[in-house]
Amino acid sequence: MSSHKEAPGISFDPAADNTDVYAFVPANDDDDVTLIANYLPFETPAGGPNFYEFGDDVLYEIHVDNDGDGKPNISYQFRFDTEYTIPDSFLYNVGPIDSIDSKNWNRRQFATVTRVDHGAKRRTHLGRHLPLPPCNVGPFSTPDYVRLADQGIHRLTSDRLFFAGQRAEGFYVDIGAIFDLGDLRPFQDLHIGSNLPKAPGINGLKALNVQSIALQLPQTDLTRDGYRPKDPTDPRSTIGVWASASRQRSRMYDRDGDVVNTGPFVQVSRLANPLFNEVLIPIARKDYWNSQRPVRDKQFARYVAHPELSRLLPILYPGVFPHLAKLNASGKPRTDLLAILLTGIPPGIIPGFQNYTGPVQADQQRLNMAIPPTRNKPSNLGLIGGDPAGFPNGRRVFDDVTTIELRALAGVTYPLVDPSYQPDPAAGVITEGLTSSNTDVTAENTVHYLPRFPYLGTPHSGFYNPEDNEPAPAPPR
Amino acid sequence: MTEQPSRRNFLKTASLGVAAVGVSAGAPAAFASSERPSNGQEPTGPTHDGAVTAYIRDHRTGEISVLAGEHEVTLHDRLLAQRLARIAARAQS
Repeated sequence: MSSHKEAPGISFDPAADNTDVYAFVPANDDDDVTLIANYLPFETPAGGPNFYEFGDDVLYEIHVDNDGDGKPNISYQFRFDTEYTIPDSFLYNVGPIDSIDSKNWNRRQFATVTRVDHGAKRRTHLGRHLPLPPCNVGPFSTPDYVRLADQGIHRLTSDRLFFAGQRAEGFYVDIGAIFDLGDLRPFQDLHIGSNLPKAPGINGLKALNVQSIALQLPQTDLTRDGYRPKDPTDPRSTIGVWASASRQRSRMYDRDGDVVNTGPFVQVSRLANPLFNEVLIPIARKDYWNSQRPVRDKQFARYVAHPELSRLLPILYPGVFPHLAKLNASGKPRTDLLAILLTGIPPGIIPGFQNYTGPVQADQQRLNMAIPPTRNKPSNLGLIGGDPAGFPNGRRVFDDVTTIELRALAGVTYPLVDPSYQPDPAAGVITEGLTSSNTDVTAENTVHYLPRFPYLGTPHSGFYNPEDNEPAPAPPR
Repeated sequence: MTEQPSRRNFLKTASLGVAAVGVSAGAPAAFASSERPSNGQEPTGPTHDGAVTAYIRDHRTGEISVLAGEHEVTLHDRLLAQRLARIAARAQS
C-alpha cells in the first residue's frame, strides 16, 4: 500500500520498490509542478548500522507524457553513488553529523540527475555528485536533522529544485484491516467475519520512513512545446506522470562478495495511480505488470473494468451494497474507473474539469496543471470531495487515496458515466477512520508534512522509536 | 598487451554466460580450447575489457544475448549456443 511490496517479486527488492508517486501544483507557486517518487517501503527508523539508501545499481526514473500517446516525452533519471569516508570503521558515523559534508559521516551517497527529452533524443545532466542527507539516526548522530536535510535540497538551475533522501512516510492506510479481508474498523460490525464493534482506524505505516526523490520544476519544462497551462480545457494543460525503477539484465555474484551487473536496464517496478497494481491486478500477473510500459496497459483494462474488490464488497458486507451487487451482476464494465485510471476524465463530465489525455489506455497520474492549487480548506478526498486540485487530478501528499479508491470501487463514481445509477449510501461514507473529516490534513502521519519542498516530513529518528516518534521533529518555518 | 579477438577469446568471455545456464565457472575456459569451433560469424574489432555475460534462454534458437556494461548485443549462432549448452549439461552431470 499504496504500492508497498505490492508484487511478489518486487517485495524481495525494496531498493527498487516504487511505493508512492505524487504530482501536484504546489500551493506556493502556480507556475511550478512538484513530482515525487518514493522507494523502499516500511523503513524502521532504527534500522542500522546499515541505514537505508537508494541502490547504486538501480535506475530510478520519473516520466512525463505530454501528448497522450502513453509514452514518455520527458524522463528524469536518477543514479546514485555510495562512498566511504572511513572504510575501516563498522559505523555509519563516528561522531555527530553536523553538516552534509561532515568527516564523521562514513557512508555517503551522491546523486546524478539527468533529463531525457525523448523526442529530441537529448540527454542533459542537471546535476552531478549531489550529496544526499544522511538518515535520521538520532539526536547524537544527526543532532540538527532539519538543517541537514535542507542542505540536501539542491537548486539544479535557478528555479528547479531536487531532493533525494529519507522522509517520513506520508502515505497512511489501515493496512492491517485492509488485508484482513477488508475488515475496515469503522464498519467491522457489518463485516461478515467480524463480531467486533466499530473502532477507529490504525495507521499501519505510522512512524515509518521511506526514501524519496522530489523535483520542483517550472510547468513549462514538462508541457508540449513549452505551453504555459492557464486554460483547464486546453489538452496541453494535462500531463501524465509515472515513476519506475530498473535493474540491469544480469547480476553475477562473484566469489569475493562483489556483485557485477551487466546489460541494459530492465524495468522491475513502476507506479502511477496508487493501488493500481496492488488491488486491481491479479497476484500472478503483478510482476509482469511491473515489467510493462504504460502504453501497453490496454492488456490490463479488463481488471479495471471488472475489479475483484468491487465484487467482494457486497460479499464481505452482506446487505450493505445492494446497488453495487446489482451493478456487478449486470456485467457492465466500470467505465468510470477506466476513465479515472486509464484515460483521464473527459470534458463535459464534471463541470469545469477534465484531465483526459486521449483514448490510449495507460496507467498514469494525470495532472491538469491549469487547475490552481486549493489553498483554503483542501479536501483530502480530492475530486470526489469537491476539490479538483486533488487526486485523481494528480495526487497531493495528504490525499486520502485509499478512501477515495475504496469509495470509487464501491460505486460512488459510477454516476459519472450513468447518472441513473444510485450509489449505495454506505459507499459514500466508507472511511478507514484515519481522518476526522474531509478537510482533515493532520491525520496520523500527516502532521509531518512540510508546507514547502520537499513536502514529505522530516523522517522519524532511529533513537526515538517507535512509541516516541509522534510527532517527528517540527518542520522549519 | 591487448589480446587479439578470436573464437577462443569469445568463449572465455562467454564463460559467465555458461554460468547463467548452470555450469560452474572453472570449467568453460578449459573446454573452450578443446571444443571444435562453430561456423558462426567471427566477431572482429576491439575486445571489451570489463565483465561480459552471455545468456542463452533456449539453445535451439541459436540466440545468444551478450551483455557488457549497460549494453546488449544479440547474436545468432546455433552451433556456439549448442556447444555452450553441452558444456552446461556436463556441469550438471
